[in-house]
Amino acid sequence: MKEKTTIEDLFAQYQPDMGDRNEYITQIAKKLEAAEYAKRYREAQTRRYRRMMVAVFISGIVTGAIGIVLILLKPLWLLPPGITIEAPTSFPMLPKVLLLLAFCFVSLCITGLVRKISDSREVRVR
Amino acid sequence: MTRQQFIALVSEEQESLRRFLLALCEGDRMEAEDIAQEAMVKAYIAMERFVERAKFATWFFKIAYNTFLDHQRAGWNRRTDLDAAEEMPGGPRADDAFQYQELYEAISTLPLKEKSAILLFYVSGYSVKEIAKITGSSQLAVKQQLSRGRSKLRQILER
Repeated sequence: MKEKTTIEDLFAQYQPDMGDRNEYITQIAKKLEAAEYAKRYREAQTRRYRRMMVAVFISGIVTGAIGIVLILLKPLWLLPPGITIEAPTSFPMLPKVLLLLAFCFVSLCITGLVRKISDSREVRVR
Repeated sequence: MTRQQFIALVSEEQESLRRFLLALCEGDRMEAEDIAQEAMVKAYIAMERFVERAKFATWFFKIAYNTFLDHQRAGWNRRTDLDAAEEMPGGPRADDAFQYQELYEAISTLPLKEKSAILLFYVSGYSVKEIAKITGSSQLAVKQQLSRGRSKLRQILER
């Protein structure tokens, strides 16, 4: 008559062959080396990206400040020759506002362009 | 922690972990090995977050268990084509699935949480508190899972 197997017996008998330990550890060490290489590469990329963002931010602040000062003080210098903006009497600040908006739009375009160039460089490197 | 220290710690736990995963995958050695290796890489990348006072084995098993759950959610990518089966080597390990068929069949009837608790308790030798940390359940829930799991296994074994 077959003896009833208890739960403890069932698991005590469970000793599957897991292969050579040293060989397995050698395999794992190689995988970890590859993982570390990938991790370092990603970290270097992140650092490069952050440095570039800081540079873009600072240059944006500086050029933005210069542009705004110019617009507020001597807006007509920024207009191409032959073009004038008539300021309506009800809204004398209109030329300055329009130039400020145009300046913001151009800044956004430049930021987007810089970002696109940076992303395409990352894709090429990958 | 350096890579060598990490490898030394993994070396102590890898057999127990792989045995647990093999049982959890019901004898599917390929899947268990995939999960084990993925878990080791994840643990290595996350080792800076490992708090030294925490027990390495529990932390490591938790990562492996979560990796197993991710595989389950993604749907196991089982190789079922005959060409792949023909290429697979035979040998003593191929007989393991047959040798432990009774165990795999018994645990396959358990829901995942009960199966995990039972295997962590009986195969890996963890306490209720440790199992709760690994599976993210409360200790009370783990006790209930163990109780239910044991009861179901007894019914199967008594048949």
